[in-house]
Amino acid sequence: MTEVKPALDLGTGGSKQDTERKKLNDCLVAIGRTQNETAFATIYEHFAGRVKSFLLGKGMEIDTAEELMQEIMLVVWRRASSYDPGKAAASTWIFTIARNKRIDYLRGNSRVEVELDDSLLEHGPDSHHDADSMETLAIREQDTRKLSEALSKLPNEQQQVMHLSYFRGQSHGDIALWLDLPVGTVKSRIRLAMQSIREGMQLPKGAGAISRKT
Amino acid sequence: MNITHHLSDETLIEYASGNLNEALEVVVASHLTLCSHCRQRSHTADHVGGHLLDATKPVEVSHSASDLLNRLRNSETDDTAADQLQSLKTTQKPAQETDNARFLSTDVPRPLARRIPADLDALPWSTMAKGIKHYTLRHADGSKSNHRTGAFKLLKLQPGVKLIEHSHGDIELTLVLKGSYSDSTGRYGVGDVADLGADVTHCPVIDSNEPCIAVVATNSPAQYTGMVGRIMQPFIGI
Ligand SMILES: [Zn+2]
Repeated sequence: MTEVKPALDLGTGGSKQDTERKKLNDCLVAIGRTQNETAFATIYEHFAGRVKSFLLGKGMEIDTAEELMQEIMLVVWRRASSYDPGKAAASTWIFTIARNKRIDYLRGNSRVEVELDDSLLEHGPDSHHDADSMETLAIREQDTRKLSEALSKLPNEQQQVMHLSYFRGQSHGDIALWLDLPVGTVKSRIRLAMQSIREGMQLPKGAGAISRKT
Repeated sequence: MNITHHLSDETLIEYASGNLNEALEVVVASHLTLCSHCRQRSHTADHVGGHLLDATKPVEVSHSASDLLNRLRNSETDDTAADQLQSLKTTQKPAQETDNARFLSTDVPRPLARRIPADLDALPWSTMAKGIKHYTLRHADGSKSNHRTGAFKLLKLQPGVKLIEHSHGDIELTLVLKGSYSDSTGRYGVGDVADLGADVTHCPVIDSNEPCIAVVATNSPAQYTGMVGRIMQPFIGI
């Protein structure tokens, strides 16, 4: 049995979190521009223990998790110049690096992703066919705040399955087993959570609810 | 393209969390190539991951930021240390991946095109049953899927073919690449993805004039030791 209580503090999505988030984004920019070591220390202080927690939660041995965390933080140091605060929060950028590095480590090859120069890439109806604005993790500052608020307002049981999905175990089947719930219940909580998040961010609805011509 | 069947939230979150195997990632990334709606949803799932990382309680780490940078500086002047630092089995995306893109089939999205040697019509299909052909896909490391890793294959089904009623494993994704089929859950044309859970039983019928070609991937049953009583049926595919 694994500890399943979410070690999670989603806060209230208030302005204090905004300030903190902005500070971390600025640090990442400073590392990219001037290799600022104080800024790196701040980023490391905030994220190193969280990245390691992510790796451990996913079942990695403690020594491996420590070592891979260090490697991930070195990637953050080296690639910070490609970070754009207009497109994603520092936390999102670092999360995707950690996730991808874990896959590299486990599988020996990269996570399979969309290739932006694919001739079959479909652009949305309101796209200006501008690969840069379309295809990045573009998110505006107010969207980040709305997402944060939406997450903090989720019922506990939904916060719990979301946290477990991303930070514990390797499948929704695992989570169902830990919580002693049918897989269907886990999945429906995830759907409800994503629905509330999309509503909070005023994004289009999810699968099934939409039939779209392109 | 008129896509009506999309990836489920659960699958997009498994993808964002890094929980899917390579075969399922190929099908997800292929649908995301063809569907900007799901691409947007997938980005949202990444942002959720970032927020949850922020909200996660940190654990203790053994080294400080300056330890790490010192180690890096030493390694830049000392190759042995650099080797030590690189000792973990991690890989970069091979540079050739973008370079050889122009030699790949443009029949299918790039994530899949990288795993087939020719256009769909030119593949060495093998016959499974009357009107049903298949082509087993390989992972990036050259390995083929088997009953332990889950399925990863292309299916080519003649018009009018009707599959026997069957249910699914835990995660099974089918993406239509050519033609179409219908079942009790709707009609699936090019770009549509069937993201059906274990609770769905259906019998698809090929209803296009040309053969229907689809890529099918499942999760690794071995991962699901806890799924007592659930037996992965020997499936034909979709
Ligand atoms: Zn879609």
